Amino acid sequence: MLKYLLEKEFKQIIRDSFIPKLIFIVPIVQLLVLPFAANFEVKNINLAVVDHDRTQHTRRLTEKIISSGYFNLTSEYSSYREALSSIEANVSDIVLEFPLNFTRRLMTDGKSSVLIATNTVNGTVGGLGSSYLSSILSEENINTAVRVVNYFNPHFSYKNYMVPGIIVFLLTIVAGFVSALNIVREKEIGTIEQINVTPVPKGIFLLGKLIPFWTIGFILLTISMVVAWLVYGLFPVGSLGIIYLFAGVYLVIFTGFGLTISAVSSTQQQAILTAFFFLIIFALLSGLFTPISSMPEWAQKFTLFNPVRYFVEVMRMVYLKGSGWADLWPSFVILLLFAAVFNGLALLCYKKSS
Amino acid sequence: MRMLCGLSVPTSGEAHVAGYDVYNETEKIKKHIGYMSQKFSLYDDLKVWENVRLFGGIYGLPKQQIIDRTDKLLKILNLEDQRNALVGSLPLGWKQKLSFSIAILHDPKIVFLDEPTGGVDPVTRRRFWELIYDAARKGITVFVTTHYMDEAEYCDRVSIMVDGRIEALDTPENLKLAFKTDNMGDVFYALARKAKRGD
Repeated sequence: MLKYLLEKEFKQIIRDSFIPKLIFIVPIVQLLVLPFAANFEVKNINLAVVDHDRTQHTRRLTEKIISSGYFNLTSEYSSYREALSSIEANVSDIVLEFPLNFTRRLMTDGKSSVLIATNTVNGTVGGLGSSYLSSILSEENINTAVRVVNYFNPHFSYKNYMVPGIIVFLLTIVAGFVSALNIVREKEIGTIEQINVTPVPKGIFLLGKLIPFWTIGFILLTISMVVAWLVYGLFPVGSLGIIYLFAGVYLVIFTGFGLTISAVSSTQQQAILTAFFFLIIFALLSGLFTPISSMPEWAQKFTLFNPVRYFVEVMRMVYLKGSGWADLWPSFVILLLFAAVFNGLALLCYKKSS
Repeated sequence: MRMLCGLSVPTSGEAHVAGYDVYNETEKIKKHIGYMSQKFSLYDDLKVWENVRLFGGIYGLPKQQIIDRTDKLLKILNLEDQRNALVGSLPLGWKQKLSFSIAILHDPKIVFLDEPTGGVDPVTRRRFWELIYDAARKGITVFVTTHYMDEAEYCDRVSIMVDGRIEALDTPENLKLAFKTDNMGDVFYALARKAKRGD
C-alpha cells in the first residue's frame, strides 16, 4: 500500500512546477546572500582622534589604526569636547584621545594609556569598534591586560560560523513549509476525501508523505554542502556520516511539524501563516543569528525546546571543530525525542473523519 | 451519506453499512464500500492509468489484477487512447465516469454516489446511468443522491428526505400510487411543501 502512495507522491512532486525549482534555487541563493547579510563583522567605523601629544609616535599609531581597514578617520579635533559633539552629530562613532606626555610615558615606563569613548547607540559598532581598537593598541604595549587567542575560527570569519547554521535553516524552511502545504492542499482540492474513504491507515498515509520530503531534504543538504564547499571552501572537519545521520532525524522532525500544521489547517494560507509564526520563533531562538548565551535567562530556557538550536550547534561543532559521536550523542537523543513528539502530534491531529 | 461512509461522525441514531457499525467500525466499512464525491476527487496531476493503479493499490489488489482491471476499465469507458493523459485534461463527463469506475474497482458491496451527474449534459447522464445499471447487475448496491426527479425513476427504491428526516421510502411505483400521480416530481413537491427549514 505504501509503495503505491510513495509512487503517487514522487510523481506529483516531479510534475509540480514549483518544488524542483525550490530545491535547487533556494539553497544556492540563500547560501550566496545570507552569509553576507548576516555578517557581524563591523567595518567603516568612524573614528575621531584627539591628539594632545602630537608626536611622531602618536601619528604613526593613528595611521596604523586606519590602515587596519576597520576605521575611517573622520577628523582630528583639538579638544575632547569638540570630538564628543561630532559623536552627537553622528559624524563619528568612536573618539580616541592621546593624552599629553603619552609618548614620553611610554618610553620611560614602558606603557601608557589612552581614552576611548564610544557611541553605543549601535551596540555592535560601539562594542566591536572599541575592542578592535584596544587590540590594535595593545600590540603597541598600551594598556595591555588580556591577550585573546581564538581557536577554531581564527580569522573571526562570520562566514565560517554562519554557513553551517544557514544550511540548518534551509532544511528547516524547506521541510517545514513544503510539508505544511501538502495535506492541506489535498484538502482544498478535495482529493483527501477520496483517500479518507479508503481503508488506508493514518500512519501509512503520513509515512507516504514523510518519506518524499525526507528525500528532498537530503538532496537539499547535499546541494547546500557542495555550494558551501565551492563558494566558501568550507568542508566539515568532522565526519559527513554524522551530519547525514543528524539531518535524517532532523528532517523527520520538521516534516512531522509541517504535517501537523497541515492536518489542523483548512486552507493553504492558514497553514503558511501558522508555519511562518513558528519558524520565525524557532529561527530567532536557535542561536543562529545571535548567541544564546547573550539572551535573557527565560529566553535561554525557551531554546531548550527548540530543535533548531540543537542541530545548529551540532552542525557548527562538526563543521568547525570536527566533533565526534562522544560529544554529540546527547543532542541526538534530544532530536529523536522531538521527532517522536512532532510525528505523534501529526498522527493525532490528522483525522480521517470529522 | 458522509456518516455512512465514515467521513463524518454521527451525533445520534443507529446505522450499519455492509454489516458494520458506523460508530466503531468505520475502517471496516471502508474496506467494503466505494465512494464518489460530489466534487471531482481523483488526482488531476496523475495520468488516467496512474489513478487507477493508485486506488487499486490502496485497496490491496494484487499487481496483476490491477493491470488486468485497468485494461478492462479503459476498454469499457472507451478511454484507451487517453491512458497516458493527465486526468486534469479530461472533460468533466469522462472524469465522472472514470471516477465511478475507480470507486467500484475493488468490487465493493455498496458504492455511494454523491450527486454524481451534476453539471453534465443529458446524453452523458444517460451513459452514466448505464454504468450504474452494469454495476447493479454485478451485485453492487448503488446508493445515489440526486436532485433530478427523472433520475429517481431509474432507481429500485427511493427515499425522500425533508428537513433531515426520511419522509418516504419505497419503490417509485408504490410512491406514485400512494400520491396518486404519474411522476416522481409531484411526489417530491407534495413532500417538500411540508418543509419548515428555509434551505
